[in-house]
Amino acid sequence: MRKLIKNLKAMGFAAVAALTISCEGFLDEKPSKSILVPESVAEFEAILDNYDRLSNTAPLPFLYSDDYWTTEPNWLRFSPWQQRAYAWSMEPYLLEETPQDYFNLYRRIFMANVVLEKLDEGPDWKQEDIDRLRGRALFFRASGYFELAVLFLAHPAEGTASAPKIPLKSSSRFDRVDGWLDASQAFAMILADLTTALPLLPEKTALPTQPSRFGGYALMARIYLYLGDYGKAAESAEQVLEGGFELIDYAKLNMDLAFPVSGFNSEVVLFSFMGSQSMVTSNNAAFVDSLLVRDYDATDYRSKFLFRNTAGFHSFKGNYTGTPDIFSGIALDEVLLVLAEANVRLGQVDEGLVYLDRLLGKRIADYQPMESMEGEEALETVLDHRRKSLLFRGQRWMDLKRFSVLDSKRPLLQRKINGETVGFEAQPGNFRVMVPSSEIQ
Amino acid sequence: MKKNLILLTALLCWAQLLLGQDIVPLRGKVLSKEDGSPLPGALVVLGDSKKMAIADEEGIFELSAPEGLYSLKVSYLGMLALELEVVVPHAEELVLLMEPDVQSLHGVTVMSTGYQDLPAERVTGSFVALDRDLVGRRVSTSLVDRLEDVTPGLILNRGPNTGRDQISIRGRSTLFANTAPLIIVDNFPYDGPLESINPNDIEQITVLKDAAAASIWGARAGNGVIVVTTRSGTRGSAPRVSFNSNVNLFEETDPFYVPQMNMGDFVDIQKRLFESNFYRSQEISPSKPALPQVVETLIAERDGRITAEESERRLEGFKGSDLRSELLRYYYRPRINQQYALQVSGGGAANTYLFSLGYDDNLHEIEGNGDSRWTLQGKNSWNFLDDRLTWTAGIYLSKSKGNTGTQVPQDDPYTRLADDSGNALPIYFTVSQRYVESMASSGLLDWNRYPLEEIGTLDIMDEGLDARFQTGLSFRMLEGLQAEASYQYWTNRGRDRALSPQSSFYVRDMINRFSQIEDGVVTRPLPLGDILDLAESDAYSHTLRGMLTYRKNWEGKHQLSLIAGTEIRDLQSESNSFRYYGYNDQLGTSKAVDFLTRFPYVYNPSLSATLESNQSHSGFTDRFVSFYGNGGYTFRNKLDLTASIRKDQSNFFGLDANRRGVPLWSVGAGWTLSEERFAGFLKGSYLKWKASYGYSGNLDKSLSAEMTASYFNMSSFALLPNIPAAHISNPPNPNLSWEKVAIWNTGIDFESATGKYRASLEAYRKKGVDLVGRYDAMFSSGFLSITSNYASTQTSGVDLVLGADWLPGKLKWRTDFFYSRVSDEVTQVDIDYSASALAASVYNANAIPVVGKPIFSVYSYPWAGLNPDTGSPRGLLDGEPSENYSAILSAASLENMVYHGPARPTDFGAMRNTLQWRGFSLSANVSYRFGYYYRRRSVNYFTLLRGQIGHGDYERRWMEPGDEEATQIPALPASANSQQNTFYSNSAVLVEKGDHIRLQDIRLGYGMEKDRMPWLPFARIELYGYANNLGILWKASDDVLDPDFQTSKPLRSFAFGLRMDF
Repeated sequence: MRKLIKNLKAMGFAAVAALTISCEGFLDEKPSKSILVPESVAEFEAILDNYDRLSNTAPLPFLYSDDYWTTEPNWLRFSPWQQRAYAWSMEPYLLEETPQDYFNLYRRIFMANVVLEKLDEGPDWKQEDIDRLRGRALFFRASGYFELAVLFLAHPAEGTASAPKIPLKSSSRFDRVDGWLDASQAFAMILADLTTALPLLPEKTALPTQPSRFGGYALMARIYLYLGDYGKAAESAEQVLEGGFELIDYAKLNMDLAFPVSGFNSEVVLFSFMGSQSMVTSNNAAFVDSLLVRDYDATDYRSKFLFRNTAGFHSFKGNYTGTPDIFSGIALDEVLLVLAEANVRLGQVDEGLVYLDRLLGKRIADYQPMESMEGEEALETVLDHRRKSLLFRGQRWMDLKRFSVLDSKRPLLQRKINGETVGFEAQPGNFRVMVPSSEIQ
Repeated sequence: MKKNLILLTALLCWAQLLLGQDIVPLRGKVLSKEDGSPLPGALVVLGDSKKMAIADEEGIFELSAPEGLYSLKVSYLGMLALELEVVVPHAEELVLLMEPDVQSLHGVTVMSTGYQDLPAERVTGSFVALDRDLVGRRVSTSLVDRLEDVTPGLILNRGPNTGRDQISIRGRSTLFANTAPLIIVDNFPYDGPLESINPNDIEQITVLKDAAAASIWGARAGNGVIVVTTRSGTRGSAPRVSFNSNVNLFEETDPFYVPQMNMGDFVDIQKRLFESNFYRSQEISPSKPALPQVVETLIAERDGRITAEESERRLEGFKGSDLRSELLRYYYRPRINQQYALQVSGGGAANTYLFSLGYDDNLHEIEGNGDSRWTLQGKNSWNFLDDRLTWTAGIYLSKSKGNTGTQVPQDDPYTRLADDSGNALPIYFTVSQRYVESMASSGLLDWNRYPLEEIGTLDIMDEGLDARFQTGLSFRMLEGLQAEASYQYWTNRGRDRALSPQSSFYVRDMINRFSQIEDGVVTRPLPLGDILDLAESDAYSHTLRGMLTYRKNWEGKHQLSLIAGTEIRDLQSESNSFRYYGYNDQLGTSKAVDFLTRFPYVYNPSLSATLESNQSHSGFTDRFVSFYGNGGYTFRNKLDLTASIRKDQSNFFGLDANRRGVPLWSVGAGWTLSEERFAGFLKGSYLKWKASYGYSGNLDKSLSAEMTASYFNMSSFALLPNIPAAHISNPPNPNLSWEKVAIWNTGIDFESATGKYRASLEAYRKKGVDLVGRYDAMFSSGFLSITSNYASTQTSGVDLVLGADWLPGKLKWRTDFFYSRVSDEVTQVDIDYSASALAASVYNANAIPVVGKPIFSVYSYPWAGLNPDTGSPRGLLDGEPSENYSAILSAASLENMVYHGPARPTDFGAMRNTLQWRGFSLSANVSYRFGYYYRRRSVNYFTLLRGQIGHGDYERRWMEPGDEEATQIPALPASANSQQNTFYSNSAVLVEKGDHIRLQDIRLGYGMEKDRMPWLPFARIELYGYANNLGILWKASDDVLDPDFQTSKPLRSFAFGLRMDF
């Protein structure tokens, strides 16, 4: 009997041992086909190729802008946060609503951090893959913080006294904030990330949704323009001109099409978009101020390209996405406008106007180059064309904020809601969206 | 040769060891005289030699004694003791038949854990055994319904958000992980759909409620375990044929159940909205959306297409019609379920067999829809080598088929589906009537939708085949020592086939949408023809188990039973779906289409999309390696000690190998006081105390400690369609672990000497630790919510069962009473729920873990009545009545919100009375639920002012000053205010007490037996009628609706059936 028990014990141990050994591989099988722990270059690349998440920019800059207005019955159809944003509430989201801008931008930063953390582990990949992924991840992290800074932080030129802050996330940990950034700290980080990214980004990308080196320079130019560093803005924008992008000749477009240009066209340097916001961006609700429409010359192809008549109102059709989604990326026209403005502001008025001529030659019928003019007048002219070219690009709010802080241009914006007029004074301190209250604990 | 010699010698030695020299074995079997079933646990004592044995699961015992004449005593609880003389050695196996002791009928129940069968008096854990009669009392196609009201502590959850959370056993022990109990069918975890099990095949269901009962099932047993044992044949019985059939008729669906506002008022509101230009943007929208018919009528009038009189006539028509009546007339019908089951079983001297065949046919409540199921079962066992070796084999097949092609149309609430002469009328769905009419001669297909013409024309079938094959070998190696190996293969194949003919609106709409018209010529990227959608799923699992059991009995004083085993399991599934365009069912051909190009929509060229390919692929793998052991020790038949342990390892995603496994264990003790000498006054009755403690586990396979990403292709609508991309589904979470539930259980079982009174009382406390929950993340994490271990809960409760046979004579009257109390509270949460999160969670019925409160709680905003001047609802802001809704909502906190109580019943149960007289039996079941709250629905002015019909409370709203005395329903505001609506729908005035008592069902049966009526052509026949969902007897709230059924009426049903044994 004892012998038997002993034998059984031995058998039992053998069985357990056999099972344990064979388990190693058996239990390593992943439980679902579509879910996996990313390991390879391609698997991480797919995360950065999710342009729907990474290149989807914040809607609030558009909602707050004076690029559009709507009728009261349409306003009634807005969702509550859209209604509040339309009235320039700096705390637009209700408790039960997801603060889309804030959340989407931090999700972009999280996805970038995930890739950067993997690269820090020193994976056994080809150097060119490592470089490309690092460049792209840093680019997206910088672009995410830049959009956050424009919405939630003061302009760095406002100074740091009582400056609002946003969370710093430098790892993929969900349960930790790594610090709080004010505007100058945020921009130091944004520029550092982008500067590191530039040489790592490829000149040509496999997909039009991926950022190229020229896209990086274009973003750099946009950032420096916002900061008022016109020298560096011009310097970065000049780099973009090397990329072989071509202006579309508006004269040759078929303006009867629903969208006269297609997405990913020859002018697009950097792709990003603002997903359509149901009513707010639909062309039966988002109308363009008729005074602005009337301001275009009869020879200006842009008014035919940008606007369509919807039941007596002017709605917008000039999306560089070729769809109802608003294009918020950077096209060659914006780059030329940055060059024009920066040069004029730096006192190189004639150089600046040459860039403007280059753009307007493809926008206006029988265009004659600008005659020489004074700096002040030249700046007004450039900014006028900036306004007329970059409508519905998600840039207007940033411009209003910049002009308010740097140029002391502080107009009163107005809208009519429920029979009452709601106003927004473009004072520097008013351009600060509140960080969601649940984030501050 | 030498090798063989050694082997031979070894074998001889083995035989020597077994046979002994002067001691001779005596083998026999203890069976019930009534039905020939084995009596495991029967005590066999051989003469004065004090040699004893306990019969095993087959009723088999073995003793050894020197040759001679002995007196043999056999005792078994509930049976008359047997005494006889035997000669040792005895040539054949002894067969001892015991007769039931009519004086004491208690304690013959056998509890099955899925690993072993235990007599009720040997258990220390919390088990509920439901026998064939109890399982068969209800008429239903599903197994789950049959557990209700007969299992203390088990409740079928009703109300919002309970779809994935059907059953709770002793409350909820998890927050957000898997909430379903583990189902064991014939000793193996069941992976298939519960609908595949035919309740007619069930012999017994055992519900395992505490750690001692369930922890042998380990990491999946945290929500309780339901062990289903299907029927098998019995040895030595002639073939028995039985037949059961019933028809169950349901009441017709009642679309009027939830009160709806008056149609005239609604038409006026849509008219008002039209006049305030609310529909203008949609009217001019390039997407040409379909607008309500009232609005279309008013547009036509405005544009001069119809006269004002005609417009008025049409509006009056809308006021007088109601889509619900049309649905009742054309779509709803009484549901009819039919069930047939045939079974043949029996057994020879060394084998048993059973075959059963079942057929269910259900006509659904919607015209044209139905489902059916065939089940086939075969189960055999053979014994060899003098019963030392048993081989069992079983096969279980279930084939189901459903057709759900008819969908109830949704449209304006005043829509008419047919004109006065019964001709089908069109409705508009994608694009507006104006647009459809303007395109009438454009060459597009007809764009009207005629719901009535589509009834029964869409061929949407789902077919499933579920099969289980089981086989097992058990070998008795030595006295008391048995080795078993068992294996199960399970497979489930499903196939969904949806054939939408070109004549259907769905297909015409798709074809039209993508059509391109140039110079009057229509080209169609989406070809003419039918659309065929196919989806296939294939799942299978292998389970292999090896187990050793050892039973030893030392002269009646000590009994020991040990089990040790290991189990390995591999479940895999794969599913694929695809679609064919331009399909021709007659020819079996389809057409290739371009899935890559974006085509503009014909009605709005600014929108474009690629054709939907409807392709998807998914696959899952679920693997377990487990080790388990269980030991039981009994001292003098009165003191029981048990212990069990199990370790599960799985491919639980991402956990590193040493975290994969989690050992779960339990210990238990029982003391049969009625066996004690000092308790002489209990003589003949049965009283037992028991207690247990241990852990079981729960897991959520969708979680991972490592970061995981999901891979997909960009949608056909995306700017750059169909490129591969990924999103992160789980952030890295290195601290993730399995949930554990620690359970204390103690109870007493009592049965009076005559068996007239029965009682069992159990009290328990469960502590859930490391509970996995989904909670709101900081938005800056990049996730809206995070799932992680973050909370602990404590659940305590009592289960009481009382039974009495009041009248034992010709007229029998028996009462069974169940009472369960469950109260749970969250004891710890890692995350401080901010006031805003709490307020946000008021909008849905989700679990809100707040320390000191139940997992499911009802909170509301305090109510300060209506404003007497305006009829606006008022809440409290800083203690003062206020109509500043956004301030009220943002100031909401745990302190200033009203906590009403739990959202799930804390006290519930049932009482069943059974009367029997001659062949008649009548039983009625009354069930009750107390101690919970629910949120009543009322007007939603936000959606009403966006043109959607609202609740019937509208009729009783505040209309003029003074109304606030009689009503609490706010006045219709001038414009839609979502915050006002949010406040009102979640305010205290709409919270009601859910307490109620309902008459659940009544069953009347009449049985005849050949024993009493020798002229009968069958052995036994029973005719029965069963009525279910009979109605509420009492409820605490004045709400017109049933507290547990707020959206649709619980339908009454009446079943008639017959059961025959040949």
